Amino acid sequence: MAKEPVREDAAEHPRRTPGLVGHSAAQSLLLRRVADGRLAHAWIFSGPRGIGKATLAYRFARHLLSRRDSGSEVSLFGEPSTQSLEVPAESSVFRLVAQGAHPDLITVERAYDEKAKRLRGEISVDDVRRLTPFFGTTASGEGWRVAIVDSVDDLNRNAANALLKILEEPPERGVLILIAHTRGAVLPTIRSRCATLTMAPLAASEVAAVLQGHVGDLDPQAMAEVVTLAHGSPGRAIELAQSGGAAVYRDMVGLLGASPKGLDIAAVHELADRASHRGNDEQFRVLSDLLVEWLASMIAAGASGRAFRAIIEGEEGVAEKLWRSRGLAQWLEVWEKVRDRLVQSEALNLDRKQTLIDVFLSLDHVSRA
Amino acid sequence: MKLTIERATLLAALGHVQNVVERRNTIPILSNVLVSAGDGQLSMTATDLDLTIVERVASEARQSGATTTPAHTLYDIVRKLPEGAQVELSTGKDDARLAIVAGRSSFSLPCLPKEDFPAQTDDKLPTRFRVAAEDLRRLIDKTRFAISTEETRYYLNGIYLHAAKSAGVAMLRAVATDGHRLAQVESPLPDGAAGMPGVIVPRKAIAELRRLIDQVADPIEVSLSDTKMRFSFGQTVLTTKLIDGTFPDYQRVIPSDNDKTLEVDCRRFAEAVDRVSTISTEKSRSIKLTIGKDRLQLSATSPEAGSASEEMEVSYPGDSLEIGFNSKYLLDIATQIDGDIARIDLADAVSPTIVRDLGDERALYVLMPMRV
Amino acid sequence: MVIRRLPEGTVNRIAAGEVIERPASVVKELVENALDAGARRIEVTLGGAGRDLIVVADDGIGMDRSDLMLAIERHATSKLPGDDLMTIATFGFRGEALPSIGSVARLRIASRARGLGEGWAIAIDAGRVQAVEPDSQPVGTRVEVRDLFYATPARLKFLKTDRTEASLCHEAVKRLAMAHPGIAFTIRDGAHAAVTYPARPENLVDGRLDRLADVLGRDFAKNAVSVDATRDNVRLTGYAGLPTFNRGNALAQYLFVNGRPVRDRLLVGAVRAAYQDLLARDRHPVVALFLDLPPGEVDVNVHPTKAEVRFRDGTLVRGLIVSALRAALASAGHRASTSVSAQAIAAFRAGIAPSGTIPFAASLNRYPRPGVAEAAAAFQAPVSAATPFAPAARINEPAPAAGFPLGAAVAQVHETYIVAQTERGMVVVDQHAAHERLVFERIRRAIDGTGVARQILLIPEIVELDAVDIERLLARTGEFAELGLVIESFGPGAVAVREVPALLGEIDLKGLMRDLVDDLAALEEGIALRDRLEQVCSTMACHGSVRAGRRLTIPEMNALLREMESTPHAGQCTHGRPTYVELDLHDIERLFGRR
Repeated sequence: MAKEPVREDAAEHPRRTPGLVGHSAAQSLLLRRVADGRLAHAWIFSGPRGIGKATLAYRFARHLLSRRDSGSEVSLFGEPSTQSLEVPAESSVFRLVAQGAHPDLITVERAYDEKAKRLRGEISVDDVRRLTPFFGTTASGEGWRVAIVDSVDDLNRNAANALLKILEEPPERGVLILIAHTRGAVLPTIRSRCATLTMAPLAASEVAAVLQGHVGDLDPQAMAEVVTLAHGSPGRAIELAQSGGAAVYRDMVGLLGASPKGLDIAAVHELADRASHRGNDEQFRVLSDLLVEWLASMIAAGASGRAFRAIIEGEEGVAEKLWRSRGLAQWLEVWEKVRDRLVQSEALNLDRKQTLIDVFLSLDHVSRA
Repeated sequence: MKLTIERATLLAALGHVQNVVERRNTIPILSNVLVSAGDGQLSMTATDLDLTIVERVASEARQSGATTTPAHTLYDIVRKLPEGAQVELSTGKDDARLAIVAGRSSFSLPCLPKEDFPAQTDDKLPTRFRVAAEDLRRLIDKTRFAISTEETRYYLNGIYLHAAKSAGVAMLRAVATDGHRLAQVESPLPDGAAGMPGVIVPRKAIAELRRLIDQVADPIEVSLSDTKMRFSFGQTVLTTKLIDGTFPDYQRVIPSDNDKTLEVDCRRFAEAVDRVSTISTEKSRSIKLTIGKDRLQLSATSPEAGSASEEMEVSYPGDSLEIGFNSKYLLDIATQIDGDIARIDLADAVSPTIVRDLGDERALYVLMPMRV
Repeated sequence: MVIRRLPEGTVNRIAAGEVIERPASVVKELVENALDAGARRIEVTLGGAGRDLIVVADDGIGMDRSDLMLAIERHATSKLPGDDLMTIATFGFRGEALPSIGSVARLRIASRARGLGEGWAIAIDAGRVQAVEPDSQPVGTRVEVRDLFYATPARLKFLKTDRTEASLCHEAVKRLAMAHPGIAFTIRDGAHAAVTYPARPENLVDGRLDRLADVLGRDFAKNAVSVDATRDNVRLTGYAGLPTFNRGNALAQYLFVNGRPVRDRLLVGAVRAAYQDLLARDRHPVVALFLDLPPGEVDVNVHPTKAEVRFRDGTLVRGLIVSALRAALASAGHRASTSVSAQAIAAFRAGIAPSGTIPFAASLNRYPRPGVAEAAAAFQAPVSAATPFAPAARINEPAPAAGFPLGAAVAQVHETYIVAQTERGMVVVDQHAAHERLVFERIRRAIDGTGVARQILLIPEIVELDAVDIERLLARTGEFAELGLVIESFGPGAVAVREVPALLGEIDLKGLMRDLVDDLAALEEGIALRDRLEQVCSTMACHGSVRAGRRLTIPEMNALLREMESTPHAGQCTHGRPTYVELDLHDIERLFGRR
C-alpha cells in the first residue's frame, strides 16, 4: 500500500504488511485454486492503485512459500490453513519475505537510483532479466518459487518483451504475479498468458478502518474528507492523510474559487512551493491527482446536469462558476491538457513548481477569456 | 553472546565465508554474516540466497547466543587487528550491537536479528559420498573454462556432474560447454554415488568451492538431492542450489569416427598459437591450421595488423587439411593438458574436432572449427 | 484525348477502395490528371482549406464533348491502353477519381481539346449530371470542386483543422512538383501568398536540384549529394541529404516510383539501412529519390491511393538503393553539413528568447535540439580548472593550407579540439570523434575485405518462431551468411542456427533472431545483425581511438586531418554527431558584424 513514492526500505512496503482488509472473494479464489492443484502459473492482479493488490500478492506468496505440497514433512508452524492465506507474522517465512531475503521469492520493481536519489521512472529490461536465473535455479526447499512484478504499468517496452519471453516458457513450480494498475495497459500478449484476478475498490468503511490503523490521530472531519477523496483506495487515503491531502484540497479549491475575478498569485506560489519541494514527490502527485480529478468531476457534473459532489463547503459554487465560463468541448480540452502536462512534468522531470504555476495561471486564463 | 577467540582463527573463518556476500546489496540482511556461539563452537554463516557457507571453529563461549552483523566490515576489522591478538565478541542485552574488543581497540557494529537471516532448512539430501579433494579439483579445473556465460542459456551456466559408464567402468563425470566447445573429465565413481541424479552446479558455487578446497587434503563429503548439493570439508560446509534445467545430450556431439590424427608437442603448440594470434587483433581471433604430412603451419592474417605464420613438426600421417579455429579456444584447451603430447582427432574443416591429453585418458575436449 | 470504358474484367481486377478521403486526395487526383494531360502549367486554388473550393486548371490537351461525358463515368479512363494492369505508366489508371469526386461534391469540368474552336463544360451535383453546355474555356481543362463531402456529411467529421487540411493539400502538390521540375506549379489558398514553383529545365540534373531546393528549401540543396545508379533496368536518381543534416522524424523522405510519390516500407527500410551507421537510431535523413523502372516490374495496384507499391524484384531494388546511397554518401567523404556551422554561429550569438509564454506549450520547449547543444558545447568548452597557468591553447605557425579542404592545423585547444586554418576560413575538429570514425572505417574495411569469420556451433541453437517469420528469414539466408549467421529450417515452426559471427562471441541467439524477425516484418531489412556487428566495431573503434585530453603534435594533427579527407563518412562520428564544424570567413565576419 502507498508504496509508490516511498523508498525500498520504508516501513509501509507491502511485503511487510501482515493483514489485508477486504478482498475476501479474491482470497478464497486463490485458496481454492491452490487446493485443487489448478493454480495458473501466471496471474495479473488488476485494480486501481492503493487498494491492496501488492499486499495480496505478498500475502499469497507467503502462503505458497509456507506450503510443502510435495513432501510429507510439516513446516515449523504446521501446514498452512486451507481457510485463510494468513501466515503468522512471527514465522520465518514472514520474516524473510519482510526482509526481502526469502530465497524463493523475487520482486521486480522500479529500482532505486543511487545517483539521482530517487526511484527510477520505469522497470528496465535488466530488472526483468533477473527472473531468468531465478527460475533457472532450483527452489531452496521443495516448494514454490514466486516472482512478483510490481507493477506491469512500470515496465518499459523492452522489459515487457523480456517478461513475455519468460511467460512463454513457464517455469515448473513457479508462480508469477503481475500487479496491474490499469489492465488495459498490459500488452495483450502478456494478458493472454495470465489468469486475471480483478480487484475492486474497498467500501468507505473499510478504507476508514485501514486509515485508522495507520494514522490514528486524525479528526473525524478530515478523516471523512480523506476517505471520500480516496475513492475506495486505502493506499491513497493514507497518502492523502500523511501529506495533508485534505488541506491541499481545500487550498486548491480556494484558488480555483478565486478565478476568474482575481487569482491570488501569492497563494498559487505558496501552494506550488509546498507541492514541489524537492524529495517530496508525494506532495506533487497528490496535488496533481486531486486537480485532475476535481476538473473531471466538475466537467462530469456540469455535462450531466447532476449536482457536484462537494466535499468541502461552497465547492459546488466554485464548480458551477467555472463550468459556466466555458463550453464542454473546451473544458474537455483543458482537462486533457492539464493532465498531460502534469504527467509529462513527472516523466520528463520538469520544474514542478513552474508547471503548477503555469497550470493554475492557464486555468485562470481559460475561465476568464 | 560472549566469547574470546584468537584473531588468526577468526580471520580464517571469516575469510572463508565473507566472499559469498555481495559487496553492493540492496537487502540489508544479506550483507550480514550470522555469528552464533554455543556447544563449544563458534559458527559463521553467509549467504547470497543461492549459496550458503557455514564455517565452524572450536571456541568455548562464556555466554551462548547469536546475531548478524555486516560481514565485510567485521572482516576488515579483524584483518587490521594485530597478529596474535585475542578478540572478544559480545552482544549487549538487546542484541542491537556487536562489540569487538582486542587489546585497546574496540568497535561496535550494528546488528539485525538472527531470525531475519535466511537460515538453512534441514534438507533431505539422500545421495552421500566421499570424493578425494584432488579428484574434485581436477574435475573442476579442467572443465570450468568451457562454462557458458550467456544467461539466456542458463542450463549451460554450470558444470554438469553425473555418474556415467566409460568403457564399462563407472565414472563420476563433469561436463561443461558454451555451445562452441566442450570439456569432459572423469574420475572413478565414489562409493554411494551410483544412484546420484545428474546435477548442474552453478558457476558461482563452482568458483567458491574451488577457492575453498584449494588446500584441502582430506576427502570431501558430498551430499545431494536433485535440488541441492552440499560439500563438507574441514570446518566448512558449502550448500548450493542447483540449476533447474536439462543439460543437453552432449554425447551426440562428440564424434567417434574422426580418422585424421595429429599429435603435437603441447607446450610448443600453445606457444606457437599464442605468437601467431598476436596478429589476429579482431575479437574473433581466428587462426588457420594447415596440416600436411608431419608438418603443421599456423597462420593468421589481418588486413589491419599484417600477417603471421609459423611452422612446426608434428606427427600426422593423413591427407592434408586446412582448418580454422578461435585461437583463444585452442589456448584454453592447450592449458588444460598436463602431458607432453596432445592428440587432435580431425574429420574435416567444418566438423567437431577432438583434443585429448595423451597422458590422461580421462579428459577429452571437443572444439568446433571456425570458417575464415 | 480518348476516354474508354474499362472492360468489366479490368474493373474487377482493380482493388476496391475509396480514393477520396480528404481535400488533399482531390488535389492529388486532379493534379495527376493534369499531368497526364500533358500540362506545362498547373494552377491550384483552394478555398476554405479545400472544403469549400478546389480548382485545378491546366493547359494540357483537353477533352472534347464526348470525352467529357465519358470522364465522369466510373471506371472510365483515358489511361489504360491494353487492359493490362501490369504495365501501368500513367497516374490515374483507376479511372475512379472524377466520378468519385462527382459523387460527393459539386463538380464542374470545363475543357477545350487542342485544335478545337469551342470548349464544353459539364456540371455534376452529388453524382447527378446537371448540365452540359458550351463554355469559353481556353485549351486545357479546369476542374472546380465545391462543397466537398456536402453529400456525405459523415466524412466532414473526419477532417482535421483547416490548417492541417490546407498543409496536406500543399504537401500533395509539393510531392508532385518534386517529380516534375519541368512543369510550373502555382498554389493559392487565400490565406498565404501564392506559392509558385517556376518551370525548371526538364531532365537536367540541375533542374531537378533547383526544384528540390524550391520545395525543400535552399539548405537541402547545400547539404545533399546527388545519387545516380542503375542496376539491370532499374535506375535510381535524386539527392541524399548528408547524415549531419538530419531530422527527428522520417517525414522528409520523398520517394517516387516512376514519378509517382509513394511511402513504401521496402523503400523506407532501404533508406534506413543505407544510413544505418551514420545516424543515431532516432534521427532520420532527408532524401528525395526517384526510382524509374519498366512498368511491368512494379505493381502499383496494391493500394487505392497508390501510396504503396510492390516490386517484382524487391531484393534488386533494395540492393540498388542501399548501395547507391552508400556510394553517394561515401563520395561526400568528410563533408559535414553547413547547418552544423549555422548552429554553431547561432550558439555564439547572444540570443533574446521570444517573450510571452504560450499556455501549456511553453516549458516543453526548454530542451534545445541536440545538435545545437553539442555545437555550442564545442565552442563553450570550460576552461580547465586543474591547470590554471597552462596555456589553454597551443598555437603554431600554420603550414600552407592550399589544396586541403580541412586545412592546416594551427592549434589544439583544451587538448580536445583541433583548430585548423583553411583557404576559406577555419575548422574545429573534435579529435576523439574524428579518430573514432577513422578507426571504425578501418575495421569495417577489414571485415568487408575478408568476410566475417564464422564460429560453427557445437550444439546448434533451435529457435522457435512463427511460420511467416521463418519464411522471411529463410528468404535471406544468403545475406545473413555473408554477415556470419548461418540458419536453416528445422521442421515446422523452428529454425536451427548453425554458425554465428565469431566477432560477437557468445550471444543471446534467441534474442537476436527475434530482433531480426521484427526488423524484417517492419522494414523488410534485417538491421539487427548488422547493427550488432557494427556496435562491436564501434566499441572497438571507441577504445582504439585517441581520447579527448591527449596532446597532439602539429604533424599528428595534420595527419588526422589528411586521413579524414580521404575516409568515407568522416564528417560524423559513429553516433551521427559531427566530427568537425567549419566556419568560413564570411560566417566569421558576420559574427563580428562586419557584414
